[in-house]
Amino acid sequence: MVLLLLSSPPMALLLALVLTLLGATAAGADERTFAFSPADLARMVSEFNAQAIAASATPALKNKIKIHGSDVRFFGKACPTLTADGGPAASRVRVLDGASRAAQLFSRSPNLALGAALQSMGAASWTPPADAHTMQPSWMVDAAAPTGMVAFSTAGFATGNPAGKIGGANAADKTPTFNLNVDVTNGSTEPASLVLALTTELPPSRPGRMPKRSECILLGHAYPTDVQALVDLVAAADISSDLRSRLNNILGDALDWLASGKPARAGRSAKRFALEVASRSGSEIPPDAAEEMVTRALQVSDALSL
Amino acid sequence: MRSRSDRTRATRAARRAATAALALLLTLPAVARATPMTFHLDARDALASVDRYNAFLVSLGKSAKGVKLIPGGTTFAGQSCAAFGTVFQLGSITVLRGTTALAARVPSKDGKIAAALAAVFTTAGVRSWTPPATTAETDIPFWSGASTADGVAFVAEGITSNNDSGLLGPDVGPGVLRFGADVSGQPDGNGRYRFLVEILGRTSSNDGALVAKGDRRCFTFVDVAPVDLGILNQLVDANVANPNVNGGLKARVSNVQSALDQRNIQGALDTLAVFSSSVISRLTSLDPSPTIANAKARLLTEAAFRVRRGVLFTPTSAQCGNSERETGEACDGADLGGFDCNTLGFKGGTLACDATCRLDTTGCIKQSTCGNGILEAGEECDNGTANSDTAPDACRTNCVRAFCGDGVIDSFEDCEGHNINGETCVDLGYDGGSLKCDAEECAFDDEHCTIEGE
Repeated sequence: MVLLLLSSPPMALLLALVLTLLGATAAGADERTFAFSPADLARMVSEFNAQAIAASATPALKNKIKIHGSDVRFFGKACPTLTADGGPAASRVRVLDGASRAAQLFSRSPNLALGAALQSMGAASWTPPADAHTMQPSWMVDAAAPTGMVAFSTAGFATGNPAGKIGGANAADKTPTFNLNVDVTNGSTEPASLVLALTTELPPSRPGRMPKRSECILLGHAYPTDVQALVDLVAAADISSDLRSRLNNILGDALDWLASGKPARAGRSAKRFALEVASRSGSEIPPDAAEEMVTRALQVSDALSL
Repeated sequence: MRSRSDRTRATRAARRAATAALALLLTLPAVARATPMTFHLDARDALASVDRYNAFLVSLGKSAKGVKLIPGGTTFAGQSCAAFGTVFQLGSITVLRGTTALAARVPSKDGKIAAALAAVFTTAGVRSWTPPATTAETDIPFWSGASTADGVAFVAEGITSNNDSGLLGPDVGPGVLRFGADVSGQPDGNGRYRFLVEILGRTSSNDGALVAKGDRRCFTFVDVAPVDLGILNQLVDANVANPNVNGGLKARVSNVQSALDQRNIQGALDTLAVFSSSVISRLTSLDPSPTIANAKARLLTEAAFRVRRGVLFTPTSAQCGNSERETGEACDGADLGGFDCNTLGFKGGTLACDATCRLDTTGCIKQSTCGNGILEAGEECDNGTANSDTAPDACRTNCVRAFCGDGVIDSFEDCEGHNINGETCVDLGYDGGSLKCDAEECAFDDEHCTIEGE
């Protein structure tokens, strides 16, 4: 009977989650870099709401996903769209180390069903420590954030100062200003589904009061923007061994520059890589692979300049 | 001498300014479109649009009264948008000419249903368009495209023959739905236009015989970018202020057009690759802010890759070998598209069509008269007496385009060989050191430049 229960998909997910909560460590983790912009954050919210609605077809989630007014409620919490003028704006983004952390975030006892749901939706996990920095105006990395999460917040978050919140017009800004380095289990060329806790707020009803805040959980899909991502793309591309070697040499230079603490130089190598790929696209590199390599190389170059 | 913290502050200030300017500077063509454009809609994007539409619909709140959650999607104004690709396999995708098409598609006594849908899609920003004189084509097996009274319709064979033929499930692969549209106004920040589409799903059985449990219809919106060569010139004009770089890039576009005019597909593709590499090699000239320059480079190179896909598109309806030249074919059998060896710049000989419907010039007789001002086979350029080995950007006297390594600093180059154009590390903002030239890129190599304190 017990075996039968454990063999059912929801129970298996719960079991996996419990094992994680008990301290099972992720195998095969690599340090990866993720850089995202305010526009990426707004996109992640819209994409997750779409994903949640689609996931409502899953019997286990049927009663956990609801719509109420303009909200998509996922386990009772809603992530509002960030692009509406005068609407909710983001003042804190906490990147959690996995679904289990989300399960522990809102209640004293872990919400195993929430953790299992996120896990089934592809949540990525990572192992501390993490390194993060931000160039987003009026934002900072909260050095006092608990283990297992990285917190980006507005500098005035504690006092309710609204400066720098991401919403309305500035949610369209595509400058990658948030940078995160974590040992993540996702090591492929696919995007990682990072578990985010997003705090949004509406202006206070009266001056001097704190803004009305709420926090929601979402999965934010992000491609790694590091040299390793380019190495992975080269490995996956259908190209000659000579060309593969040539491209890997350029990326080797980038890694050397990084190792010697010169990310700007590594960024130049990433551009050189983009140039090499672009000039050979179609003739020596399949166009689809070339397009992805060029686009990602320019993103990597951007991330390295952060 | 500025301290390091001063530099950091200055860098941050510059970045903030760049951030504020990004949305303004990363602009798209400002002029209203007047000519028809060709679009490629991927079937996977059409499928993914259902989820995006559902999230958008819910976000409207009271503006979309009556939205209800159903398993995996929503229902609104009588349309259920859920389970496409899974329970309901994709059977038809129609790109509609605008919200006015809804009235005929969802008739009701008072027209309220169509009006409610129209309001949603107007809020979403879908474009109205008129059809140019092109047909709808697709490369998805067992699908066909056609112009209809209110748009362009792409339909799987199974929809008309009542079987599973062509119906697309959740593992739908890449498939192009190509159509022409005359759209006015500017595209969005990614160079795309938003169109209203109607998608139709149908339940089907495993054995190929239709189980007519029913169809499901959903109106959604898709964002699609044009694949025409002309978009590159517009993007260059909108994003590249430096006149030398602007002119250089547009010259590349012109070369692509010349190659296409001569049905030289490979030449066109090669030159598109040159366009992309030129953009990347001139990053610093695109914008003083590296972030904005990178964003502009991505916009331009992605557009070039889209144009490449447009050039290479061959619909399933095209049958190489049927002696009829169709989209994606430079020739077919005896139909050489009006070309012969002479019109392609050869001295004479016999032009043929190969088994892949590309022009075969191996039977043409080459003439080597570089310098006669006529672009001939084997020449990258020929400007007659203007050919020069010393003038920047000129066609060289051996009829090849200016290139890195030709000994002349062209507008696309910072430097050439040991000639660093009189620049120094200090000119580039460093405190000192030795500026070199990267021989492969003809770009400054600042590796040996120094910053005080480092």
